[in-house]
Amino acid sequence: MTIELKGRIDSNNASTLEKEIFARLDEEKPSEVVMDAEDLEYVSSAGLRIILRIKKRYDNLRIVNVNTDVYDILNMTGFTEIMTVEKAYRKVSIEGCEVIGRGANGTIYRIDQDNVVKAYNNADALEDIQHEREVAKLALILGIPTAISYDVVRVGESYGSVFELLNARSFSKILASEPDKMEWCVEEYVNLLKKIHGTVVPEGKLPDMKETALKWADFTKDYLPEESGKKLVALIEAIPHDDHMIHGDYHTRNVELQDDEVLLIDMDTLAVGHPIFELGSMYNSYVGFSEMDHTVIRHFQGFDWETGMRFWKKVLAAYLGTTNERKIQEVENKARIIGYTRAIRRSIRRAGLETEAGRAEIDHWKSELISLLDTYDTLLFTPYELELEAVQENLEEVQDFVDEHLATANCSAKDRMQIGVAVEEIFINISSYAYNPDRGNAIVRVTVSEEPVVVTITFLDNGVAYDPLAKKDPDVTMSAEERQIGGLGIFMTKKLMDDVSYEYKDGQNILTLKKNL
Amino acid sequence: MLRVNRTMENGIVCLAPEGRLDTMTAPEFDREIKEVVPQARELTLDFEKLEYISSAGLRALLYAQKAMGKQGQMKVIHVNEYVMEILDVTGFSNILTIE
Amino acid sequence: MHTRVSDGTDTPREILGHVKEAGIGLFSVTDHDAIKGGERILQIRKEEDPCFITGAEFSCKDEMGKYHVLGYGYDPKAKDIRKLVSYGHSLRMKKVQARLDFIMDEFGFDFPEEEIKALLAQDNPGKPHIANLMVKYGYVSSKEEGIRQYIDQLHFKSEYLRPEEAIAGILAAGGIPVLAHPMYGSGDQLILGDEMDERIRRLMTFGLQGLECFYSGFTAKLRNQILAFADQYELYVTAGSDYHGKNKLVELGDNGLESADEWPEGLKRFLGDVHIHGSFT
Repeated sequence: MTIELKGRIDSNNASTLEKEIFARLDEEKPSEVVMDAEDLEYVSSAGLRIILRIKKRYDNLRIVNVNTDVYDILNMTGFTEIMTVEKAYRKVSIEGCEVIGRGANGTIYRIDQDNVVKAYNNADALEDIQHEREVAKLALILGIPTAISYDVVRVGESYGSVFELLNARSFSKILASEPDKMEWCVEEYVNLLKKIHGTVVPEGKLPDMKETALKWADFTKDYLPEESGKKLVALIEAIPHDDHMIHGDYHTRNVELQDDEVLLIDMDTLAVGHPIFELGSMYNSYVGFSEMDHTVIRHFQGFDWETGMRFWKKVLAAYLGTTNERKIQEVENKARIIGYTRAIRRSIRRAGLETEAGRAEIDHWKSELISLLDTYDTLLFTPYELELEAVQENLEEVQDFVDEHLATANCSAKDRMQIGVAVEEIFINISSYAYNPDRGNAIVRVTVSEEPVVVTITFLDNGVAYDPLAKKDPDVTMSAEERQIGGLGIFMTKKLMDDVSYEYKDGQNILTLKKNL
Repeated sequence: MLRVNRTMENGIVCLAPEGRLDTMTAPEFDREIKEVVPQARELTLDFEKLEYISSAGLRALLYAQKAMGKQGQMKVIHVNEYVMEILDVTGFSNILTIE
Repeated sequence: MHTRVSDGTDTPREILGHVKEAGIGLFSVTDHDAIKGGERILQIRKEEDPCFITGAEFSCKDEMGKYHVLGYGYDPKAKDIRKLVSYGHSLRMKKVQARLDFIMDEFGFDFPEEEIKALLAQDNPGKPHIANLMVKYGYVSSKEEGIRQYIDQLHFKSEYLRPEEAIAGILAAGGIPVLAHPMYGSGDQLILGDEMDERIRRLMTFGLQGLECFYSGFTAKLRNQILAFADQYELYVTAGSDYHGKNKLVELGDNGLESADEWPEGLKRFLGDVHIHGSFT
């Protein structure tokens, strides 16, 4: 049953109205009650009490077409928490508006200088909008800079959500029009990506990307030789659960520069999972979808194939913190396995097999995928690591690498110095003793956890097994004349860090520093 | 990364390291110290602009303290909070004269 | 809850019967500006009947706004509470008279003498009663129209009981002054956040001792906000259904208390300190 609320409801008419409504309810005994507030201008607390009383009798009561003023009242008083309250939707036209982004289930238009609307493709988009709002809010709470939609509007036959995006320009636009900003874009883009991937999401708040990827694999495997198909599924299944955030559609049209702030938009694909899933979809955005037809990327991103390729390579190198070509290639190939799996399914589901060009493209991806599946036995890689020769001369590079991570963790100058000292002592220790008189590499890994904020730095080397922590601490109470200088570095490290541990495993010395921020 | 400003007057030497005193820069500071110690009656180390010190830097300090202890005085001045904590943790604040 | 003495539809005897039927162990009647209903209940209440707390709800107003102040547990024989009631009643009667004069002079409405007499003979006549007459004699088509278009044209300056007067009177009669449905003001407003804070602190300087935190018309959000204030200022906490018989469709005993996991301290303290007729445990 629909009850139409009109005009003003206050103490002058509340009790009359209440009696009328209850008389109707008693007569019709409806199973469901909806209040249509399209013509409701104002409701005082006397009116709120009526709504509450009806709600007590009809638990499924909904109020629809609520104008902004009335919605604010219902929101302030907690009514929106106890029942479904649907706002009246403003109508927005997107005719002639500039397209600034295209996501999996909608297109983003600039409707005026300060505002954009994401128009959803499907007519029943309200749920999707709700989902995107919720995940965007979640991301914001977890420290990811994003725009939260402030209004839901009617766009043609479907719905849209409106965001404020002042003077914002997407990274795609910047890359297309200002090639000299490439390095800057790479740096900012990677910083944000690391921030996303360093964000731990409370359990159950976001879908698991692994499950989605398994669906892709399950579809695509039927188009591959049996052995390859089995291996594909097994490789994805072997990826351990990861509760860090991934965006799911992280390309340069979804990263906006607003004044000096870099913002992430189009949040509906937000998930948790291993970063390889993200890299897979990034590969497609810049390379995979355009491999056969290099003009495709211009349509998606607004810049050309060469720019996209260069950007992708630089991003991957910066993200992995290495210039080691072999390492970059390995991670790219693993990303391609995910990327192709998705691209094949996407194309086939869009009738790709029915055109000559589509078949050629799918065949190309298939043959690449089959050969990659022959080559790799895991899709895992270790992010946030720096591998370099363990020599004193590389100390500065190690310090810079660690500092970069600390910068995103809002580390105080004091903690930064103490971590710096510990990192120096350990790295110098490794470069002096691990391979002496030969040479070898060390790996440095940095992770920053949130709540509590703990910086963990791990040093790995393949040198002689040696536990620096086993050494006796120097006596720091002796006079200057008696003082020996040895062992001071490790002693300081122990004192300045909250935890220092050592293990020897699989031929590697593994020394781990932890500092609580 | 490290600059060392040196002033000298009547056998009173002042060394003011500026920047980071770490493994890479400590040899330079060491060299300065070894150069001035034979001529110094008093050595003042001004740490006002010292941002960072690791064990390599401490080693140079210990050398200077030992050398000056035999022939004169050494003091360290203007130590910032961060560097002071390192000196405290390592017991160096007990063996140095810090003002 | 309210009896027929103010704007409820049940007589005191009926209310007592309903309370018994509903298995309620403790209740109060808080008629607007009146204590007759409670006095009557004290007369007819038997020892085995539900426990009872005397009550009244005073409509107050000052330069800062409108309030409903509840008085609980006063001595109904105390002259201070009787003065308050008669003052409130006389203001009300004065206003009814003034309103009647106004609409008759200003708009030329005419009502039979006996209707006017009957109206003035009621315990607590107000705007709705006048509007009913206007409908009855065909001057307007709805009560609402009568109030909005005609009666509300007349504004009174300060012909109201002031909150400090009500609070002082309740205290002098040994009662506990409590702010009724705080977020809703005198019934039509919405007072939240800093404004609510300011209002509570001001009324506390007059001697306010409690807040009606459990109220049939509050959502959980509002209840939690006002409970936080009670907690912050260490005020008594009370619960009210605002039952009006058939006039508002509130269920008897619906005061939101069943939703509380545990009674707040302020409510326990209130029940310990207020005067209760009967042995309530």
